[in-house]
Amino acid sequence: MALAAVVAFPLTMASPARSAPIRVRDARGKLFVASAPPKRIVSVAPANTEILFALGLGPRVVGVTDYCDYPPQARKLPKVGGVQLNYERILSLRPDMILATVNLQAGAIARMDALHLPVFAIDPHTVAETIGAIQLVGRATGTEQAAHAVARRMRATLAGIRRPPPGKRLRVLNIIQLQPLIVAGPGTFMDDCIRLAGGVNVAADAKAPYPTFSVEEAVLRKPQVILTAKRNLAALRSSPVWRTVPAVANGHIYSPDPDLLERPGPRVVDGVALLAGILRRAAAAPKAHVAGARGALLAPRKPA
Amino acid sequence: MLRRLLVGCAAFGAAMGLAACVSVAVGSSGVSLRQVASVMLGWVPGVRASLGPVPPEVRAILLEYRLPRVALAGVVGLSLSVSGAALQGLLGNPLADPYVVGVSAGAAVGAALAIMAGLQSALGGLGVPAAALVGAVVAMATVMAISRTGGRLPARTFLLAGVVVGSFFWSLVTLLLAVSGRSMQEVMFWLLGSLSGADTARLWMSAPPAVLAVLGLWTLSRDLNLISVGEEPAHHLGVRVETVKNVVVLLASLATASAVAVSGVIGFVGLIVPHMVRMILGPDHRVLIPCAALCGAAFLILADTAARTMLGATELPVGVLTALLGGPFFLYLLRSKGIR
Repeated sequence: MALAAVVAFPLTMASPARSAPIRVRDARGKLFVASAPPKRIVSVAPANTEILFALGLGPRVVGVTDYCDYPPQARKLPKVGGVQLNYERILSLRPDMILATVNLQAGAIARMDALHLPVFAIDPHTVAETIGAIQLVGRATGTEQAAHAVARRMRATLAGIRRPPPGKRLRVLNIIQLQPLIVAGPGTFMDDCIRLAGGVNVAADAKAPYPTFSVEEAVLRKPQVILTAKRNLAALRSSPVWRTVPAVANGHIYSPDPDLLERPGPRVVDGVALLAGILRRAAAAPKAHVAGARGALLAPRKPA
Repeated sequence: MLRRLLVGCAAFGAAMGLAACVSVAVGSSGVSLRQVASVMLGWVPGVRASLGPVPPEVRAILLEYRLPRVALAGVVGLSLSVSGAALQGLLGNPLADPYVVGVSAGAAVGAALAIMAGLQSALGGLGVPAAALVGAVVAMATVMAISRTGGRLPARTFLLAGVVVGSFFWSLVTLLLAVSGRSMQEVMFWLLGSLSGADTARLWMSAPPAVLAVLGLWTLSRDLNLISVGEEPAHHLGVRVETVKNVVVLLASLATASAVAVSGVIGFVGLIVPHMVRMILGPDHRVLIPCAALCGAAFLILADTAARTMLGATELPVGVLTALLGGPFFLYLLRSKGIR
């Protein structure tokens, strides 16, 4: 048995191998074996659905989650549940591959393993790992060429982002929730995106990925840009404490489309580019947005 | 009795004052003790000048955040503890806590709905607490309506109705969580309980019911003493048992409801603090009610201080601290004094 036939790093693999047998280790190190590229794929995460469609595998996707809303044609596919997966429905779809994500659904993956379902798991925690995961999916589905093209495009987008020199980067705070204050800390996808976009995450030293963060510290670190959902805007502006923060005083509170920045899929680089644009404009016009005016809230943008 | 009352109130009152002072003094490393002193004692002639200027954001943090948070911790601790003490006495059940009336579950339903509807900024930032308060009052009213039979409120029926209505509302929370999508995390964090959202508005929302509960329950403490001996003898001694029961439940539940609304579900305080005070000072409600109130306030202020300072900028769930700090001490008391 030639177990070593598959190498873990994508760059060494370039053969098209359209209908050759598949032997690929997934992110858990589990060997995924198939006599031919999968034809009935179930995606159990929105980002995974986006990856499959980006690889041109849309016609082979037979099931998605309730939250899979991109690309639009994914919405019409049979649903296999949301937070709680419906294993019976997954079984009834007779999939020959289930594309799962380790850090979100370890329990569900164990359950599907026990049901002898052909799980292929990816585990991206950064933008770079997302590109690697897309290439891994390409090898497991016989679409290496398409995966390379997607990876190239993503790297080109990232390379095109101009970052200010280290001393001039803006301090950014991503508020997930205001009461209690939960922010994106180290090791989160958002943390990586902020860095790639040329900002500094002021909560990068927190003790957990999504910590309950000290309001005092958050205010004293004087974030110049705050990223948060629109529903928190009024509460931030009316708080006598938050009003002393430069981002609030200068109107630099933005709500970029979370689907672009939180889904480890092909569009994440568009999210990073969008964020880089926000930071560039905020740096260029530190007080351009008069406090009390309608503000600089950016409408969610959905690039094609 | 009077001596116990005075000694107890003095001791727990001093503990609360000390805890509050420590809590106001410590916090983010970006705020120095000199700045704290300057802002807090600025009204004393000469102090502000001698301690130097304080940046506006530090002043805002101290006056608009840290001070309200310490006060809110005190109010919530007081509400939970005094309600627990009264309900344990009234129902004659050592396992009773302020949440037996289902208010925590009702509040959770209200909060979850408000979070899912995106009402975080509604009512000047009070959208979620207001909805939680409504949910809590609905749950409480349901329990009281169900358990009232023939103008009476039998303790056993009341307890069971509270448990069942509570379970029912918790199931609703689970149901909401299952369909909430992106809001799920936010609901979960709310459920964990935290004083991180403190501001003056939340303080004003929870302080009046707390004061009302302490004064009202203290007034009824003689009746509570008689009822805990037995409803029959209490009745023969002239206590209007049913009226007292209704008022006690109403006061305790309203205080608990407003505490839960502003802080989420913080466990342990309402169950354990009353027992601790009872073990130390005895079961006389005339002493127990005010002392449990002061002790609960001191305890939650301390627990919240630890929660927000132990890990630097990262806060711990305050419910973890209440159990970790209070549990061992309670067990020590249980071993050395036994339950009363």
